[in-house]
Amino acid sequence: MKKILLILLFSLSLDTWAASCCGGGSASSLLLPKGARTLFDSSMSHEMYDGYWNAQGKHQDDPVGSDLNQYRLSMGIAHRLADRWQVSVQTPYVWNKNTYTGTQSEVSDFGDTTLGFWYETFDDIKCVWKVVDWNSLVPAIYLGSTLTVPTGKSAFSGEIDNSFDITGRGVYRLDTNLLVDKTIYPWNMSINLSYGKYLERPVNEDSSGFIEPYDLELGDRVASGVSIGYTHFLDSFDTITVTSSFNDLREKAGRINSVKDLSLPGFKKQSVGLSFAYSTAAMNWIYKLSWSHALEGEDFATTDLISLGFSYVLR
Amino acid sequence: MFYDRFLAISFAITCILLIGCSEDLSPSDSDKRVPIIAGSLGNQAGQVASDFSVLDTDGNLLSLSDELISYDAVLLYFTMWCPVCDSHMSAIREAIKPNYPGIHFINVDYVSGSIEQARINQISNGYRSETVVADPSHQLTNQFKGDMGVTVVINANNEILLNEGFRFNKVIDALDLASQP
Repeated sequence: MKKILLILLFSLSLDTWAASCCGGGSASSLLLPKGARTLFDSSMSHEMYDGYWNAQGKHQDDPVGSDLNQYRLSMGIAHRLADRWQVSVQTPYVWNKNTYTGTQSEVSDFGDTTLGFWYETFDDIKCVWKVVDWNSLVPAIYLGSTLTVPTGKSAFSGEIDNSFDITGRGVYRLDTNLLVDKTIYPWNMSINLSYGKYLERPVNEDSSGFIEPYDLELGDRVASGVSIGYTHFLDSFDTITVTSSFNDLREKAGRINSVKDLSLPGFKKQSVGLSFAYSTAAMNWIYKLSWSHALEGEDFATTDLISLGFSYVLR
Repeated sequence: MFYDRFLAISFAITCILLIGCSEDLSPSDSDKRVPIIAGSLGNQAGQVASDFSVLDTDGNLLSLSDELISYDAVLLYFTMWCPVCDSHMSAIREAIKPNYPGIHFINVDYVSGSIEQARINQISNGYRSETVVADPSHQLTNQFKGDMGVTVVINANNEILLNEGFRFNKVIDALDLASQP
């Protein structure tokens, strides 16, 4: 179903970046800390649906008696190419489990894959214990580009029998990203911004079968977020970091054959998140638990997302 | 050595996934519609729709043949009460329906298990005054290969003018055609 599809595409949203260049900091994924060579990441997520917001921002209930869920197993690798350059790839496997009083569906398949390419504007670690001069306040700044590759099954692929089978959005998207991260122990703060552009694609079929071909271009999207974290050091020098975040995601209306079409209205969503990360003293194993709650939106599903995962860092 | 091999294998697996698992990676712009015999029974544009009878959420029996006596055409919109469905239904109600008084706009709830539940969903989503039919036996869903957002326009000659996912301008074209004397 399309609202699950929409959520799926944003599962790799900015709050998953919230990384500390020091490593082992927050519940991050797929951004390597300084000095690390490779990172392996895996997480299992459960997204629970609880109605949606209409175009006026009014909350509407899901159909009476329905139970709508999506589960995702994400696997990813980040690898350092050079002192300041890193790449990453992340692919989810998706299970859609939906029950209505008149029908039910359980399907699974790969979702859309994300390829990341990041540049670090700094050479030395920007985490400090004490502010001694202006240099102590300089943050870690990451500049990145991510390409979402439609490896899932979309409403336009013809590989689906109905909307319950959808596991991807079916369109390439290129995001330009900025992440500013600063840690002054035990506190951490990060800000992220992203602008995404969907590539136009032809469509010649949908779930009804082959149709007259047309060109589809989804609207540009802007994502932003801010997070604040606190790190507690245990006697063993293992750490526990608690991070809270606020995220805003907007997508403009889309176009069909270069003309705006009311069938692609765009959407808006704001959410808050809370994450816990346990890192070993060597900062090579990080275990993560996070929760995200949708606060408000327009033309978007209302969901809660719980995620449990780990990262392994090779130095 | 193990580390390098692991990376190479991971990269290869990723490439295989990217290349092999989705038609969306290299979408086609060619028209692959199979030619149909005009006037044949079926669910494709250009074919003739067979008659059907369903109950709306007010308990009225609606049959295609009776509807096409009273109206120039019928539009069926398949809804599952999702945000996308709501934006489409809202566009139909506010930007399309007022311009086509001779056409009966019918929303088909294909996820509710009963007429009573479809009525509850209709009211809670703000479509009390619209015509909604429940399709618990999936009669219409199977007949028209209905799915979220699929829109079907049938003219007074029982001819299907449109049967595909909702696109505003495409629906307007079909309704203009159906409204021609």
